[in-house]
Parts: sequence; C-alpha cells; structure tokens
Amino acid sequence: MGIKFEITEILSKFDLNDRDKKNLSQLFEFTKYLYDNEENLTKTMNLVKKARDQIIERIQEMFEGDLLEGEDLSNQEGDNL
Amino acid sequence: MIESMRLVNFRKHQDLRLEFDENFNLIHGRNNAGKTTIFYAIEYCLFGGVQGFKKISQLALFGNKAIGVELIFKSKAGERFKLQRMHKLIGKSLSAKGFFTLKHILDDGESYVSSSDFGDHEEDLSLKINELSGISKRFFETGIHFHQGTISEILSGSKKLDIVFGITAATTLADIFKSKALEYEKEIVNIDKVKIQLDQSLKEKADHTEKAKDQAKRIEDLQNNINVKEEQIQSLQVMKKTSEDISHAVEGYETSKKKIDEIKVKDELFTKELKELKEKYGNKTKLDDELKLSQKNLESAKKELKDVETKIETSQTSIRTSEKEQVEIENKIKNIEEVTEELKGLTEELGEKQELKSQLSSDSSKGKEISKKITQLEHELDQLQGMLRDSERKKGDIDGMLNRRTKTKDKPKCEYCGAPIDPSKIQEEIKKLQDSLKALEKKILGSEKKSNTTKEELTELRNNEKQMSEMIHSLETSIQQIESLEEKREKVSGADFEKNLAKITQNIKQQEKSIEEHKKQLDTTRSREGELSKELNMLETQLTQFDDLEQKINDTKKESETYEKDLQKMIDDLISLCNGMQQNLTGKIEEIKDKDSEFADAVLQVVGKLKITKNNFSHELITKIRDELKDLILTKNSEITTTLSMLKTQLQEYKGFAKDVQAQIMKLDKSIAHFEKEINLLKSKEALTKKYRSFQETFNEVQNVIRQNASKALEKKVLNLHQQLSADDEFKQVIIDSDNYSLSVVPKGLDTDDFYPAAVYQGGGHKLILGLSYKLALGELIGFPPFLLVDEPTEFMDSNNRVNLLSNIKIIADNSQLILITHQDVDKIQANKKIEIKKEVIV
Repeated sequence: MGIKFEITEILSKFDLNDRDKKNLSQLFEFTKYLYDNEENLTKTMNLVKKARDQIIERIQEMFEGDLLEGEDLSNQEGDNL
Repeated sequence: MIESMRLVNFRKHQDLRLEFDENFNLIHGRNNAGKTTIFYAIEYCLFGGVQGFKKISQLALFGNKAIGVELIFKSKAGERFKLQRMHKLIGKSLSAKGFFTLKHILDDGESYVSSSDFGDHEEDLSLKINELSGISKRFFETGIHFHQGTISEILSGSKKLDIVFGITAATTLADIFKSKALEYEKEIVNIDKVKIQLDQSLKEKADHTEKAKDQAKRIEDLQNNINVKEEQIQSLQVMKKTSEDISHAVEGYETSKKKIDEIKVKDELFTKELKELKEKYGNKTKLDDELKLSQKNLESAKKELKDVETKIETSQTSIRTSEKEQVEIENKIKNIEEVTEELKGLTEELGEKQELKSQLSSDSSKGKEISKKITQLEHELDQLQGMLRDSERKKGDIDGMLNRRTKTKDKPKCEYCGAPIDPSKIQEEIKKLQDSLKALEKKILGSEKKSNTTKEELTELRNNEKQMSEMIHSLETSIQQIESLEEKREKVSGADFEKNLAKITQNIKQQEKSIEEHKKQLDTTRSREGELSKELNMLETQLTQFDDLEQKINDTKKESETYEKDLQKMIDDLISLCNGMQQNLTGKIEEIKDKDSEFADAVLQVVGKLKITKNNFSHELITKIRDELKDLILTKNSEITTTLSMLKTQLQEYKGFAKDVQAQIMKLDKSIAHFEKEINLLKSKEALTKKYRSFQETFNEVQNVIRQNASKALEKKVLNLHQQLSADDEFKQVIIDSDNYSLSVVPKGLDTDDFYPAAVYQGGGHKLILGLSYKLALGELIGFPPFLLVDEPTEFMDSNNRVNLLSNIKIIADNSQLILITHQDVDKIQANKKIEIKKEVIV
C-alpha cells in the first residue's frame, strides 16, 4: 500500500459541494503547476504577480461568471444616470 | 513506463534508439559515453528543458542546428503515447524555437492530443502529461530523477518539498481567497446605503405616478372640452356655408326679378313703335302689293336693258370682224408689191431666168470635159512615176555592180566561185555598165521633166474644175431664188382685194350708226331702272321696320316667359334649400345639445326660422333670416375661438407637465433598476465572500493535513526502505522535521531515544542509502512514479552494501519501471535488460 495522498481525497473530508470540490481540485493542481515552473517564482520562492493573477482569473471564471455580468450592467446604468 | 526513445543530435548522440523493459533496465558503459545524457533527454522531452542547462543550445551535438527527442510511454491507464519534441537553433546566438507533439497511439494509427502546431502551449502539454502519467516537473526532480552525487543532499531537508507536496499551493490559494473575500467585504458594507437609495427612489416614483394620473385626468377633461368647441365650430362652419348658399340663391332671385322688369319695359316700347309705324305707312299688306308691282316693273326694265346691250355687243363684234378682214387684205396687197419688187431687183442683178439656165447647161458641159482630162492626166502621171521608180532601181543595181567591178579590177575573180577572171573583160564590162548608167540617167531626167509638166497641168485643171463647180452652184441658187419668188407671187395674186375692202368699210359704218341708236335707248332704260330700284328699296326698308319690330316683340315675350319660369324654379329651390338646411342643422345641433345647451338653444332659435313654405315665402323674409344667421355665426365663432385657444394653451401646458413627470418616472425606473442590480450584486458578493472565507479555511486546513501526513508517512517509509536496502539494520526510528523536512535517526543499540541529524551523523555510504530511501519514499508519497531514473547510486558504497542495494533496489520500487545507470558490478546485477552505451564516433 502506497502513502500517496490526492487533493480530491483530502477535499472530500471538507463540507463542499461536488462542483466546488472539483473546482478547488483543479485550482490546486493549476497552482502546483505554476509552482513547478521556475519562471513563475521569485527568488524567495513566491509566485510572481503574473502567475498570481492567472490564479485569480481562474477563480473569477469558476465562481464569479454571473457576478461579472452584473457588474458590467450596473456600470453602464450608472453612466447613464 | 517508457517503452522506447530516440535521441537525435542530442549532446553526444547523433541518432540513438533505445528500447526499455518494463521492469529493471541497467544502462552501463564507459565514462563519458553519454549514459547520463539519456536521463537528460527524458527530462528535455517531458519538460522542454534540463535543470542545470540554461540554454537549449548546450544540449545540442556540436555543430548542429536542431535537436530532437522522441519518447514512447504508457499512461497510468496503460494506453500508449508518443511524445516528440524538437528545437531549432537560429542565428549566431543559437536562440531556440521549440515544437512538441503528443499523440495517442492506437491499434489503427495515431491521433493528436496536443501540439504546438495547433497552437497548444507548454502549459497544456504539462497538464496533459501530469494527467496521463502523474508526472510534474517538481515531482520529476524530487521523486523520479536521482542525480548522480546529489542523492544524499535530501537528508538536510528542502523547503522545496513544500512546493512538491502542494503545501505552498494550498497556502497561496488560502491567501488569494482571503484577499478576494476582504475586497468584497469592503464593498458589501455599502449594501444598506444602496437599500436606502432604492427606497427613496421607489417612494419618489409612487409620488410621480400619482401626479401623472391626476394630470392625465385633467388632460382628458381639457381634450373633451376642446372636442366640444371644435364640433361647435364645425356646426358654425356648416351654418356659414348655409348662409352663403342662401345669399347666392337670393342674389340669383334678385337678378332674375330685375331682368323680368326690364323686359316688360322693352315690350311696352316696341308695341308703341309698331303702332306709330302703322299710322305712318298703313297696312303691311298694302306695302307688300306695292313692293311686288315695283319688283315686276324693275325686272321688265332690266330685261329691256339686257336686250339693248346684246344688240350693241353684236354690232361691236361685227365691226371688230370687219376691221380684222380689212387689215388682212391690206397686208396681202403690201406683200405682193414687195415680192414683185424683189423679183425685179434679182432679175436686174442675175439676169433673166432663161439666160441663167442656158449658162448653167454650158458650164456643166465644160466641167465634165475638165474632169475627164484630169482623170486622163492622173493616169499618165502614175505611169511616168512607175517608170521613174524602175529606172532608179536599175540605176542602183548598175551602180553596185560598177563599184564591185571597179574595186576588184586589179585582181578580178568570180563572185560566186572565186575563180580568177581576165581583167580586160572586166574593163570591158565596166565600160558597158558606165554607158548603160549614162543612158539610164538621161532617161530618168526626161521622165522627171515630163512628170513635172504633167503635175503642173493637172494642178491648173483642178483649179478650173473648182471654179466651174462654184459657178454652177451659184447659177443653180439664183435660178431657185427666182423660181421661189415667182411661185410666191403667183400664190397671192389673182384676187379682187380692193372691192372686198370697200364692202367691209361700208359694213363698219352701218354697224357704228346702229350702236349709237342703241346707246340712246340704253340710257333711257337705265334711268327708268334707277327710279324703280329706289322705289323698291324704300318699300323694302319700310317692310323691314315692320318685321324687326314684330320680331323684337316676339323675342321679348319668349325671354319674359323663360325668366318667369326660372324665377319660379328659384323660389322652389330656395324653399327646398332652406328646409333641407333647417333639418340638417337642427339634427347636428341636437346631437351636441347635451354638451352645451346654451349654444344649441341660440342656434336652434335662428335655424328654426328656415322652415319656409310657398305661402309664407318672401324675398324679405329670406334675407332677414340670412342676416340673423350671419350675426349669430359671427358672435358665436368669436366666443368659441377665444375659448378654444385658451383650452389648447392649457392642454399644451398640462401635456408638458405630464411629459416631465413621465421623464422623471423613467429616470427613477433606471435608478431603481440600477439600485436593485447593485443590491443583487452586493448580495452575490456577500454569498461569494462567505464561500471564499470557507475556501480560505479549507486550504489552511489542507496545508496542515498535507504537512502532518507527509512527515509521518515519510518517516515510516524511509525506515522501511532503508531496512531493505542497507546490509545493516542500525536505526530504531527515523524522524522528519515537518518544517524543513530534514531527516534525523534514532540509532539502535543505544539506550536512548535521542535522535541525530542523518546529514551529520552518518558516513558517506550510509547517507547515500538513507538518501536513496528518502527519495524513493518521496516519490511514492508524491505520486507513485511510473519510472525511476537512478544515476550511479553506489558511488561511495562498500562492496557489501553496493551489491545489496543493487540487488534489492528493484524490489523496492515494485510498482515502477527502473532505469539505472552504473559502471560497477554490472555482471552481478540481475537486470531484465542491460543496455550498453558506447561512445559514438562523430564525424
């Protein structure tokens, strides 16, 4: 029996719906991938801003799709007023 | 698991193909043969670069502009894939441009999974390889590729393991979710403020809506009032039209009436004139009889006049004929005298006709004789000229012969056969020829003389013949002229012209006398005709006066009848018009009576008077009603127009107010929609904030879980692996620091549980075995490596440990393919496949 642990396995212990679980797993793997690439890291092993923004962009795509549309609409209305 | 690979222009290898066993593969070879290069090639192919090599060009076989590696491997699910990667080296700086292709190998061919040719990025490929094989770059470095000489470095721990386990990723995600939550929490604070703004807008909208309803009601009332006034104006316009129609009809009536009066006056005047005319001329019948008698007398005079005129005409014609005959006779007499005179002159000039004829006969005989002599002389001349030509020809012949004989007289010979001839004979012949020539010349001279004499004589005769011919022609012409005049004189002579001339002159005198008499008669008759015509004209004028007056009286009567008839029709039409209008207007006014009774009553009072019959019809009544209508229209129209203008102004004002209120409502609707959206958005953000806070907690927990689990799992696994790989079982416990992952051991055989850092405590060989165990454990913990690449792991080991490790190492990595590089104890190691790498000779 191996000792490997999977993120999905770990997340299954938390109170999350399936969609969030799947999204967070993908986000975790994507972040790990970014850390795998030395180009994305600073000298102190932190993510560079560009890589961090990529994660934020993914988060917005996963959880804020409808919300972003609402924001655009409200901005337009605001301009008219 | 890697099935096979191919290296092209990669470091030491120009084109190397390798196939691997699925279990234990041993790669051996001499130093610098390119064994480690194979592991570099695998790393290059998977990740597009090799740790420790800053530039791709450093991986290329010297002098080559492209490198490539192909890997055929099996995924976790056992499916086969082919990964191809290559780089082109461009320019002097050898900057690299890379390409990759990942294909799925199927039984019936290959299908593309990812390719730079299709615009896929390195990120796509890395995620796909991770998905298929579980290999990431960090995992490859940490748990798959065991570098030569660096295996034991792991015992000092590595912060990078946080990255490998995903602890750093979890920390970062927790941090990002926290930041996002904080960002939204700042915005959510405004939700109550926006709700207040929404309530205010809703209240304002309710107030404006109420106001709009009130304004709509007012506008409706005003519009109704305007409609009533406009209907009233329409009625007034109908009345105006009515009034105008009546005016036109009355005008027509008045004109006809006036005309009839004028006609009556005219009739009386004409009747009076007729009476006076009768008194003056008597009865019209009497005048008619007188006229007829005068006409008869006049016709008789005219006939008489015509007879006399005819007689005069006849006499005049007779005179003209006689005068013409007189002239003709006089002309004839004059002509005879002229011809006689001309004949006399001609006879004097040419002689008598008989003499001329005798002369002509004599001249004709002479002419004939001359012609005959000419013919004879022409014949003689021809003969002389023929003889002359013959003599000339003979003279030529004799001349030629004489010349030839003279030229050859010294040596004479025959002209035909060339035989010599006696010169004396020739001399003799020449003398004869000279004599003949002289005789001939004499003859020619005689002939020429005679010929010339004949020619002169002939010329003279021809001149005579010509003169004779002209004389004959002149004689003939003269005779013809005389004969012509004689013939002419015979034609006009013989009649008794003088007698006829006297008769004609007498006839003319008689006719002239007759004409004088007739002219006197004509004057008398013309005078009578003039008197008769005058009388007739007078009678006709009188009768015309009668007829004209009677015609005028008749015309006046007819005209009067027509106007009377028209006037009656006009009255009927006017009554009909008034009654029709009365009904029409009454109906219209009744319809709108309930809306404004005062206006209706006023109008109906006047309109009611339009009900007229033949009995009560009078011109004055109609005129009076029409004037009343006009006054009413003028008064009411002014009142209503003023009121209508006022109402319309008010309506425009209210419509303006209503428009403003509607604009306010629309603006408020937009504000409300905006605020509602904003509230919804903030609510969504509120929900999202809760979610992000929960995710932040989750990833904080995740990193703790991974860190704790990783350390404990590693400790157990490292101890277990070490026991299998080492010849000596010397550790009681292995401890891994969860902060920096450094490894410590608790040795066996000491009565203590103290632990010592392995990097310090252990010797080189033990550190290597312990490091190898640690790395193998890491690999298993991170992701069950599909293959292990182990490069010279036994470098510092003693013989026992080396043989033990190499014998057991595959057993340890039981689930993974093992590719091991070594150059020691190759024969002692039981590998499934041994691959020897030989140094390639590069040309």
